Amino acid sequence: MTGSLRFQLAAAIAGLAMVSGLVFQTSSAAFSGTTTNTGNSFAAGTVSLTDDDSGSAMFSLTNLKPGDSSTKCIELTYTGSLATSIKMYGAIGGGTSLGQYLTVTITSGTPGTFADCSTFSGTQIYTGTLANFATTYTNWATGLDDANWTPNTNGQTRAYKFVVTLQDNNSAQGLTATSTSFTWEAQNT
Amino acid sequence: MTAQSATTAAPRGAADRLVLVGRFAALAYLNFLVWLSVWVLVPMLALGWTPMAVESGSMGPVIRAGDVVMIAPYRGEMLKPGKIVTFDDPAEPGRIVTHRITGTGEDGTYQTKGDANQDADSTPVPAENIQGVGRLIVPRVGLPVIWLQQQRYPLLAGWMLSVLLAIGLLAPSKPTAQSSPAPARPPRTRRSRPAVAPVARTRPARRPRRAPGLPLPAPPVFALPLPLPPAPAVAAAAAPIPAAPAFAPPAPATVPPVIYRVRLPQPPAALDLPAPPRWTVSAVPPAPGTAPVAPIPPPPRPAAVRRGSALGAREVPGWSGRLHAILLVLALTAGLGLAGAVQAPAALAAFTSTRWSTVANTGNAFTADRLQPTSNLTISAPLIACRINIGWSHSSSAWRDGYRVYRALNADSGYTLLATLVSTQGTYTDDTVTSSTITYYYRVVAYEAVNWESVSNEEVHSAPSLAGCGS
Repeated sequence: MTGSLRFQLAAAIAGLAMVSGLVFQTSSAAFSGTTTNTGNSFAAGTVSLTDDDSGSAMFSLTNLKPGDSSTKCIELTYTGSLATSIKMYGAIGGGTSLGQYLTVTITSGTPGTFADCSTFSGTQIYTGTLANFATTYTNWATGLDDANWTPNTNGQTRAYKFVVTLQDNNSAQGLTATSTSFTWEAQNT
Repeated sequence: MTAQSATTAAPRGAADRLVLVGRFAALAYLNFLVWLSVWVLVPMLALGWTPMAVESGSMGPVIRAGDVVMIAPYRGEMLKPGKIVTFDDPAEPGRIVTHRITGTGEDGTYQTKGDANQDADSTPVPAENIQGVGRLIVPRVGLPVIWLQQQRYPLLAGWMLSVLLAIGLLAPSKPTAQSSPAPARPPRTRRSRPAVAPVARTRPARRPRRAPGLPLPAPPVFALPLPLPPAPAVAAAAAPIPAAPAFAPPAPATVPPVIYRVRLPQPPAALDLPAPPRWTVSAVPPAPGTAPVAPIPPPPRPAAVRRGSALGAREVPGWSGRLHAILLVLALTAGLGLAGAVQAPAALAAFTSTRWSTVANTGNAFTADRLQPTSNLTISAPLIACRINIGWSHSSSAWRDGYRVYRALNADSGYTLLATLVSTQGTYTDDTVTSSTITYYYRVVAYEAVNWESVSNEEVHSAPSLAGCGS
């Protein structure tokens, strides 16, 4: 019986040692402070959005006159594996407050590409001034939720159509809005 | 129905070795489970750390889903990049996230990022959102909680089953050879007790405690070194039973079953499992014509045997059963109880780490045009009385819709629209002049659409008594 008891003790201690080792090893790996996944080996479930703008801005409009309007489409592709929801937000980086006189209408639909918007149809998700868009929707928390698109499998696409119109307001003359960005964010749900 | 008795020793030896291996695995498993739980419970109780079960793999590979992060309460100190913090997600109130700090903002916020995420979290985390700082990671022990929260009940049930199975495997002396017919119901009186001494029944069973279908709890072994008395050779209370109908009504005892004590092969030293079962009991009915080796005695207190149950052979002494129950409870608290412990401090908030990705169209620029003013504004009095001629050079904004002529009686204010002209017109004659003693002021602007007008940085005025059309 003593042998058995000793065995139990040994087993318990071995178990404790093993588990403790595991805990410390895991912990030290996690808390070593600088670990930030140096190997770029990102975990299996992924969320990734890309667009087809090839780095070009949708709008580079100069000499806008009252009533001038410009239409552009952009196609987003989801290449992740998790179910996500999509929110939009924006920012105006510089300029002289032209944003308040630019009316933006954003439509979510299909089909449409950066190059071709001609056959697009969809659901309008925002209409208002550019300034209002950029101050209302600033990040994921405040972003404009596009309930029309909740991608969950690789390769799903969605097109967004933007129509920007300069209002007929005398105060808009000569103003600018620069470094304006439209951002889509996908987060797993 | 075949007589097995000692002849089955060899095949059973192999089976028993399998059982031993199984028991060893069960022992290791439960041992592991308990110590993992201890690593959660001790810091929780002793240091006030909060266990958080990680729900997703965004902190992989160092923290995986199912790991429990023990977090120490955050006391408002400045945190350096590299720390793992648990915070109330500013991007989605109510969601608890554990990510690593990667930077600090000048406004006292922290930038955070999941190790497995490509990008940093999009919303900066204010210090007041931080709930705690990660201190310890206990791997995998939170999986049951996660399964519970994600309502993946099959997994949860499977896990519980494996715990129960492990406990069951550690149960002592499972009678393995029971191929005789329906057991004889033990007589209810002591008088029928045969003279032959029963096989090593050390003490009368009190109340057999057992769950149907579950091997009776073994003298508990896992992890805790419990001194166990030598396992009493379990006496077959009644008789061998047919495998299937555990609760079949016992047939009247016709043939006294026979009990053989079979000594199991001694397990190797390394597998020297504690306490119990080096004994197994097998009982077979005597073969026709052979004398029973040891007729089974009726149990001393048959009333203790569950009525109608044919499982009397697996009775264990009461204290062992109790110990067993304690162990069972221990194991369950180590598992499920831990689940509760993990869940409660987390306030039921799903401990979610988020994966996300953004794409942006940047560098959009918009510039509004400006209507250029007219210039070289001139005024002259025509020969016809009471008229004033105005002339100007065109605005350089060729896209103008036209011109608007304003007139006022003061130099700087009170202008009213006098006329709207097409864009090609460069002169205008004011024929609404009524007095030569009044000075009229004029401005000419280019206009576009409705509201756009060029600035009017020039104005001209008529000289007094210019027109001479009355006073």
